[in-house]
Amino acid sequence: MVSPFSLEANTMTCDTVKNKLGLFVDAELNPDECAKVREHLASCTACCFEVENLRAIAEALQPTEATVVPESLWPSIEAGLGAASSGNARVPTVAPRPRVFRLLTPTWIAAAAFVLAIGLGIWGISPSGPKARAAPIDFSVLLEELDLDPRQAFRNFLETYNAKPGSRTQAKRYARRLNFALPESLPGGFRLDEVYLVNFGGAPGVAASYFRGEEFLAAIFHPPVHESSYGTHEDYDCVVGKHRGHKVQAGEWKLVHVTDATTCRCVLSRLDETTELPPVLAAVLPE
Amino acid sequence: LNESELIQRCKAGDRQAQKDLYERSVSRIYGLLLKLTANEHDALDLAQDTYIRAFQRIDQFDQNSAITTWLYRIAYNEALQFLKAEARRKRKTEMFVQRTGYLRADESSSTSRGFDDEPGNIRAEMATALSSLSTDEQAILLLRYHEGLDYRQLAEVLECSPGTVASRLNRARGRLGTILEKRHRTLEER
Repeated sequence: MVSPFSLEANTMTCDTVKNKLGLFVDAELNPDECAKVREHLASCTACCFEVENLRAIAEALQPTEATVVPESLWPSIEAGLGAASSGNARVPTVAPRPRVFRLLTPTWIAAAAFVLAIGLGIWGISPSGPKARAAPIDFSVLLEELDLDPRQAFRNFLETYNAKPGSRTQAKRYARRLNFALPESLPGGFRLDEVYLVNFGGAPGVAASYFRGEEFLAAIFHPPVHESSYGTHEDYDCVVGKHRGHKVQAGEWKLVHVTDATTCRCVLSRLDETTELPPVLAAVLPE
Repeated sequence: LNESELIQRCKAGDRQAQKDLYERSVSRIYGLLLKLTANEHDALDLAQDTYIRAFQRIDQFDQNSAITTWLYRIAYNEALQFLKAEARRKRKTEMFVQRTGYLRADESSSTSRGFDDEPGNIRAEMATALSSLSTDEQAILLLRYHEGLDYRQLAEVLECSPGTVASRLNRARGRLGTILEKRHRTLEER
């Protein structure tokens, strides 16, 4: 069928030119074809309009500013290449584990926690059971100076456990045996600030800081193991939404843990336990 | 060093040469991944995987194409795999939310694709429209217009013929145009 926009015989019609307009805009036509398309465009408003549309799309997709590449990228590639050539993990994003902890793998920890939970009836979320048995983690570092400077207290805690900054994907990969979620934002308007890969005595863990304006909130995930230290602070059973856990209060701050066979999820915040905290806790629980 | 010498040194495992190659190409590779994932963390991880994979397999690079084209191909495949897994994960999350009624935070990224975000701006509209396309369609448009690859290079990255490139580009542009047109009509009707 000849288009109403067709030219004379032996020249291009709208139908024949239609599939060449993309190639024309992309400068992929040979000179002869290009000349024929130009000839057609000289007398066809519809195809000219189509060419302008295609050019607008091409222009809108072009970069306007140089991409800023994070400086951490090359060191992580170099580390990954070093590990690969020595036969270790493909992308080590954190320091290798100390030899003494090699046997304390997340699988072993999870299995041990499972056996303990079944054998001793100490499932952290059991209504009648005692407090969840968390990893041998010294939370006193975090709790003691919380009222003075929560961010510094969090940094001190991270430093104690050789934490390295990372991304959400790296965290998932690093602590692959833990069940947790690290959303970009939490209910109540908290935005993800930093993610850390944490070495809890050879067991991979993850920590993240969130902010709502100036208000700080931290989430910490680690495998459940034996015991925790809270310094001078007391540890109480609590119920947050549909989850049973335990909490440590330090002034206005609360460190709330909810534990199952594989993961202890801790949220440090000043949020109300009955209103704001339950949806936040639900957001960091696994799917 | 010219590209050929650089590649030979990379094949010999010269770390400085690897770094030079990285520096020559990283803004384009990372830029593409950032546009495809719209998330800095994911783009960073994928760029890391891309270069590690590239340097581990550089012996397989036959130098029939530009090294950047070869890197684009690896980055594209890494992104494709990642985005497919993400789509599966999102579907699972949606099913979970429907089933349990759990209130969960929006996990969508806060990172923009680097286009201007003001409403009514063609680039902002483009970013929105682009995200409605399939990963394949987004990739071919970004590789062509954002990265400036010609059809021959596109064919190498996408591992298809130049004729297929032309038809896939036509289809992607057509879909993008339709989406933009619909958005304009909706705005005009308001």
